[in-house]
Amino acid sequence: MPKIVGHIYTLFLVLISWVIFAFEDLGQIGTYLSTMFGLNSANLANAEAIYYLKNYIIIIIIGIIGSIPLKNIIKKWAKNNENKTNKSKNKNVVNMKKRDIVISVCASICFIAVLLLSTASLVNNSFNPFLYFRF
Amino acid sequence: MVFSSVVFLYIFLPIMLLIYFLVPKRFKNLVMIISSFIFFAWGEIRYIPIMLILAVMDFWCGNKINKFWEDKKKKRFYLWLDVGVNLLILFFFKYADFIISSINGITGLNIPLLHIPLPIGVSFNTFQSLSYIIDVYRGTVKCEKSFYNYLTYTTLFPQIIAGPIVRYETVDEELVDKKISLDNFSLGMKRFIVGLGKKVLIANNVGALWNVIETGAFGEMTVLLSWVGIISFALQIYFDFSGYSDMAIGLAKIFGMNFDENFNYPYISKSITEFWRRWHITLGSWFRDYIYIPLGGNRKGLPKQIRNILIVWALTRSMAWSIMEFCALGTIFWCYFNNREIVFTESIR
Repeated sequence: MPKIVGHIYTLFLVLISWVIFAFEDLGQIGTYLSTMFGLNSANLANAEAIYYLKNYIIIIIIGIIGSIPLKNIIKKWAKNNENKTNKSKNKNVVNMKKRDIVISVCASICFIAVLLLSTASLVNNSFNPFLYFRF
Repeated sequence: MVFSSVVFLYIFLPIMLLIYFLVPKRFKNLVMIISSFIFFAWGEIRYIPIMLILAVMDFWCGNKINKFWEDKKKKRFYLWLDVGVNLLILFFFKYADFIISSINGITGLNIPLLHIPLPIGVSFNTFQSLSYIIDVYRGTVKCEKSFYNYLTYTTLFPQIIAGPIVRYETVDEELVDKKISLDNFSLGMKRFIVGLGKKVLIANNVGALWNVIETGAFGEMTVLLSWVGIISFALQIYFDFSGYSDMAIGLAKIFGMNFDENFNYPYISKSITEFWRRWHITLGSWFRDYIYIPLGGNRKGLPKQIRNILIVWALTRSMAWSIMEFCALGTIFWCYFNNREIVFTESIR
């Protein structure tokens, strides 16, 4: 089986399972699933759907990107590049040091930004549900 | 108290860390115990006495098992005593009202319901206690000789809300000798911030969208919106859950302890079994090691294997009609295929 088929089939099953998991009522599960597959009278899309999609598309894309191991992919790519350009060694060492410093400074700025943004969101009292009451 | 709150981030944690790093080594566990109690008492104080009693019980039974190492009967007695008490308390909180209402239904009596809300973390606490006592019984870990250290283990607050499940063998050395360093501190801080961002910036935002779609708090439902909705729910669950695990792992690192990883990019899986090897890893392996394999796994023929799968399913099902429920289904698949691999490698040897 080609890889892509495996990915699609797994994600598909997982999404269906999340529907079953999200609702406690069997009737609601049925309605939701049949809407997803166009089995009832639901329209394909309307102005409201587009409105919500537009408002949330960025955070959904960030979420999807965050669900793949981007860090490992970049590391692999960087390593490959290094091997290619390994001819002029002395110059490379200096470059690497510079690069590492730049990366670590950027990373620190990102961490501080995430902390500040999270704090702002918490202070703002925005939607912050606690999902683990039943454990 | 929850991690994603201003009180925790800017009052509790800084004060706790300051004291933790200032006190001499032998008092660090004490600081952890006291802060765990404050952490739990913030929401509800009533679970603390039970936690203490269970800790005494585990500790006492563990030492008894050690004492009667040669006496199989006594050893087994103390194992089952501890397992029994732990499960009894868990089931009491989870099912007291369910049982009362069933009795009312059958007999026509009218016993009032107790309406006890489930104390936060009671399940994870039980998982930890059981892993300790079973490992002591099996001889895979030495029993803890110091109640002070055991209490630190059983009350550890970072992971108690949503995992990862920390086994005694993972932290037994670090209960005595913590790896406190500037490196670990900064690694832990980074990990914690990653988790916080996952929870507050991503999970909460997509969660808000799902909340609107789920409750139908808008006009007409469409095909497009139903897909957007379920994708945002999938993202919410993943980022909330793994964010909590990241925060727990990060906090532990700051304290100089190492927890096991709990999530490994589940949504890139190529099969369902792979998904369960990547989703809430410590829960899956807990059920495999302490329930499925002791029951014989799949090595005693198909009928028994089906029975074992059903037991795991029933147990996780009853644990909570919640995220655990979903984990249960996965655990079954996971145990089934994993154990096939185990049998396979054993036959090669």
